[in-house]
Amino acid sequence: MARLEVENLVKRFGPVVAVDGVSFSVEAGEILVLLGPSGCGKTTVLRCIAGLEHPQAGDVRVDGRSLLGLPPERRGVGLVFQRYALFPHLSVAANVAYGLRHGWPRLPRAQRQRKVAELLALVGLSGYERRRPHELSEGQKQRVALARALAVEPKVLLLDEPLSALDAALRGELRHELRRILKERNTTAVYVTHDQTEALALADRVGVMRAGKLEQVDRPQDLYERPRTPFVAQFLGRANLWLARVVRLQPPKAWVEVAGLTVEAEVLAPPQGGEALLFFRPEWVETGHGPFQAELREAEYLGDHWEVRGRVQGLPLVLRTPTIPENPLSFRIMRAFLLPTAE
Amino acid sequence: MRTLWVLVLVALAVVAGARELVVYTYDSFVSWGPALAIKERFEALFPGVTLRWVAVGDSSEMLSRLIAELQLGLPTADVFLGLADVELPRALAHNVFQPYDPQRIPNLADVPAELIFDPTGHVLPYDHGYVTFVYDSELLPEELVPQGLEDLLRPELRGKIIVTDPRTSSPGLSFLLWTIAHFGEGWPDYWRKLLPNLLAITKGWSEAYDMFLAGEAPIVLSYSTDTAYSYIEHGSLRYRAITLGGEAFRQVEGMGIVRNTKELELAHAFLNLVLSLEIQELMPTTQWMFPVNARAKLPPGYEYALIPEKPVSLDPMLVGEKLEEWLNQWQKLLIGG
Amino acid sequence: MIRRRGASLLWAGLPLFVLATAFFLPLANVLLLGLRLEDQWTLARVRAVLADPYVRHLFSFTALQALLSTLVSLALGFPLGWFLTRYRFPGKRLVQAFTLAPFVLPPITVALGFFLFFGHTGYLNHALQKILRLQEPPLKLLYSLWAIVLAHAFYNAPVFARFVHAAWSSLDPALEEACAVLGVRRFRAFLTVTLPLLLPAIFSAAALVFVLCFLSFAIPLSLGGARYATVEVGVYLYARVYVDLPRAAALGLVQLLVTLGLAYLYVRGGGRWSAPQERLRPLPTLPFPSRAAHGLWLLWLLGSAVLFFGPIGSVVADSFTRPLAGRPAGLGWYRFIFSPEHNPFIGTSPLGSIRVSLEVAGFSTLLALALGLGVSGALRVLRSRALEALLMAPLAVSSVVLGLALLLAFHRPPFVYLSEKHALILAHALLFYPFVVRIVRPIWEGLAPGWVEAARVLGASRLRAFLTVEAPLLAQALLVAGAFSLALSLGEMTAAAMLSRGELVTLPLAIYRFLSARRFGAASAMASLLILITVAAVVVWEWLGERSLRHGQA
Repeated sequence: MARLEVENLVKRFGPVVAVDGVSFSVEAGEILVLLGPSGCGKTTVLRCIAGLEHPQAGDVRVDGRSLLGLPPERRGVGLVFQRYALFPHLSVAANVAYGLRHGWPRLPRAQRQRKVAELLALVGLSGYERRRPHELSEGQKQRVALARALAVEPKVLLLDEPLSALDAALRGELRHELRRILKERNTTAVYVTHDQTEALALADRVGVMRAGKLEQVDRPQDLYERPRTPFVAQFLGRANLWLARVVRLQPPKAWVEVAGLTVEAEVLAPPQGGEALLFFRPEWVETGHGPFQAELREAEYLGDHWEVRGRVQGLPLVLRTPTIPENPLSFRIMRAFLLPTAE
Repeated sequence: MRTLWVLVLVALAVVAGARELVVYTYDSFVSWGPALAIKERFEALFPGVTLRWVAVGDSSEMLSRLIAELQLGLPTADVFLGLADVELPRALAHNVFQPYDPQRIPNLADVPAELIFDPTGHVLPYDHGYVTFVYDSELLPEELVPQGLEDLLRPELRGKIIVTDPRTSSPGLSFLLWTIAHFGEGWPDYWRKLLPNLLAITKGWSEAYDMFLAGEAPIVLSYSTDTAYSYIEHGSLRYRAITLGGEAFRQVEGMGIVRNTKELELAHAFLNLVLSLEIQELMPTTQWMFPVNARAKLPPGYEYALIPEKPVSLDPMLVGEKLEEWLNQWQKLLIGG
Repeated sequence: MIRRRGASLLWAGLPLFVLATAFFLPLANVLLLGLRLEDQWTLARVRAVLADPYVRHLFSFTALQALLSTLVSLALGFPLGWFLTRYRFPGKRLVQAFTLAPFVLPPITVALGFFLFFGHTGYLNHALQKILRLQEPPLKLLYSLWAIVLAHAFYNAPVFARFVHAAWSSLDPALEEACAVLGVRRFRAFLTVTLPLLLPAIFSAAALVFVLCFLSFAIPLSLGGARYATVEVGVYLYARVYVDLPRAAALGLVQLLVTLGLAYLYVRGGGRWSAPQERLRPLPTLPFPSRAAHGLWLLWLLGSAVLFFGPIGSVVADSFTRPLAGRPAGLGWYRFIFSPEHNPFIGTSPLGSIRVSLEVAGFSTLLALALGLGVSGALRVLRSRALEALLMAPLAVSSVVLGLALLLAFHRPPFVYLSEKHALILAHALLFYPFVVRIVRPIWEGLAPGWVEAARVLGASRLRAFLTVEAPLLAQALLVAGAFSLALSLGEMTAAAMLSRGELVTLPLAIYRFLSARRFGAASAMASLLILITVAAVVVWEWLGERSLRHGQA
């Protein structure tokens, strides 16, 4: 398996800048998930890597060799399409064998059959060789698409929202299976999704994209616990972001004033000017006592905890508490970060 | 959509009342103009009566439509004008016409007896003409101008003659009958030798003549009045009609009263009008055919219209009897049988 | 729910079927004459007809020329469809409208265009002789089988182009991309994925084109001459020359069996190619010309432009150059056809002809669309392919037999009460609505029922749900169907000739009138007008349609 590098990629469609200077690298055997809202340019990045779009600037390298001059069929990059793009006139086996038969190198028939059997077994579809795509369920189509893409043993596998058409239960199941298969074959993969749960569960590392730019690439827990921009903080999980005045700055520590109180926070990125955003997750608090008084508006019971929403002197708040919340609720912020306001 | 359907049916304009004489003819009779003059004259003679020409297609198409309508019991025409003499047996066999009453057609007195081709008294002639060949004097060397039917077989004329299909066109049928009249039993031999010289056997006269005008071939099957036509219309003698050994095939065109008409009186008046001197003298320059009224004068320029020394014709009854056999034989010749 | 839907469709379908049977029953009546002998059902006539060696020759020749014509049409039309699918260029819509022009031209005008252009003394040979300094004309295409094949391709290649274009642009672009990322080169991907997916459309178009060429009559006779007669000549001979309707019907029946069999294949193919495909994006197009390799396309375009525009252009050129009163005419022939004193030639003014033709084409198109939608709706419930194929009968039957059927149908109640113009409008609608069914139904089948159900749950009546949900989704198909119907109506002759009571002179009839009056230049001018009007009508129709589409979406 190979290492993928994307450097300073720029893709414009007419006046629209879809990808605006994106750089990242994926180590051999690593799964990188590109996460972002729809229209953020993540699919375009994939298509540039696959050679289906031509970037105006930047480079795409596999094991140090640039792919840019090569047509898609000579890049050794696999792609699983969002709606699978199975060939409707071919059987499952013929779909999986397609690249082995018509691509390069061309395998002899017996080898092809062996490979198809192996891959169908891998995705759990042995016995489905002669079915046509329209006779399969969505989940089965997805597996065939994966098997087809893996059959040609691409150096890098790209997956474009491969689970988005499935229902929630199936999505959860396939998510684990997908990770198992990719890891079992030690595949270098770039996976595009807008679903944060999927991203956190699948990825070795996650890159969050917004408006054509990559905001942050990190391991899932780092991304969750130490987001570098308000957007990342909000996009992954729930977040409280309060506009605060910086009282004292002494990196890596800072003190800010918010709702008439002074709070200590860790500095992830230095704030610009005298204002900054105070960021903390709903679970980073201790409830029942503390300097903050929240007026609660709603409370949801979620089994092992309660999630409550309310306001602290006009600032919106979401909190997690293990006990039945009282109203007003006092709490203390146990851990907080300071993020810059500028977007 | 249902409302639409109802609307369509409700929107039927049911017009009734006015008296009307419906005449079927072929399209060129209308497009050349005698039809219009006849209509004006007729409606002046019978105020309150409308003369309606129906002309969509050639003579054979219109006759077929008439026969089909009669067979299916549909309302149809009062008079049919434009029956080729060789079609007479077909018309009689299908009982299209009723006999005319000569007493009610005074102008009949001016029509020579030899032109009255229907001995049964159903169909009257209104014009006649001669099917023959026309050549382009700028393309065909003088020495190659054919003098007789045999000259059409000369090897120098390979691919230089255009004729029309006897199955779909009236001059084409006339030419086939001409060769049968001339060669008798030997006609298939003649045709076998003629075929290589034929550039095309077209569906109708229009295509054939149009090809000829475009210069695709120097000889075309057409009518003996063609020189007069190009002289009178264009002042040109470039296209010249010829007779072959003094022969050309005679076509007489007839008209008759349709079997189930209710306007017997008007129909007779119509026939009489068409035979009148006034209308007959229009025939040469509208129909490019000769009038049947012996008193009718020919216009200047008609000296170039040929009347053959030996007009050829076949008994329509014989044609009626043998036509299918002849056409079958002719078809087989075409495919080399 | 299902029952109610069936009931409402029955309400829509029933009147249509009444109308259609008023026409289809006479058609069957005429044809069944071929199976009756002295009040007995018998195959004797059919057997007798088939025993005739000349008829057998006709069948084998007809099949041969139809096959060759289909193949050549495919060879010319497929690249055109490809080109229209893959590239964008200025004037693309005009080119698309022009491809429908051959459809409307009367055979006699096409024949004229062909010998003016391809003839021994035609423009093409003339030009080649000048360039190559030859004594003899180098191209002896005309007066041969190849002239017929070429003329049929001229008519029918656009059918292939339209079908291929429609099928290809409905393919999911991800399929070809999938091939690329699987390491398969473009050409091989085309052969193994794109082409197999287009095959049903190609097959379907081929069946249609074969049927049209099989029934062709005037083109072979006019261009190839009597040596190249088709089966239709046999029907004509029996019906018109021998006036033996039962024999003509027997031959017509055999002919219909062949063509309906193909129409059935066509229906099956059509149902398959337009089966719904999942598609997230439209197929991308490239600007043309934008690459060096496009030079090859330019060569090909030049070749097909010669075939398509050569004959049409020659007719137009002829309308300006043919001498009038001994001098080159210039605009003379146009002045001639528009001057009132020459109106008697066609029995009406040219403007009157244009108005009549447009009126008939416009209303019959609307009616055909309504009928087609109703029948498509009914077929959604009935689901019979055989019935659907039978609907194609007006297209698959000999024009001589069709003429008789029209005569029979339109001279009886209820149609007999119609004025001539309304009769023609209705006849054209009845002749062309099967086309609409053909184009609209497969796409309607492909619409998810969920949309209509959603509309009905939101309180829309079935009709309203159709008008607000299905109709806009079908609009593109209706546009194409309407364009075909317009063009077919503008060029139609059989019904116009059979239903005429002497009052209506459509444009093609006017052309014939001028020809029979030896005004060849005037006929060319009129034919040029017909081409212009057809292209304009199709362009305006599509423009109006697309405008209302956009409005609907707003």
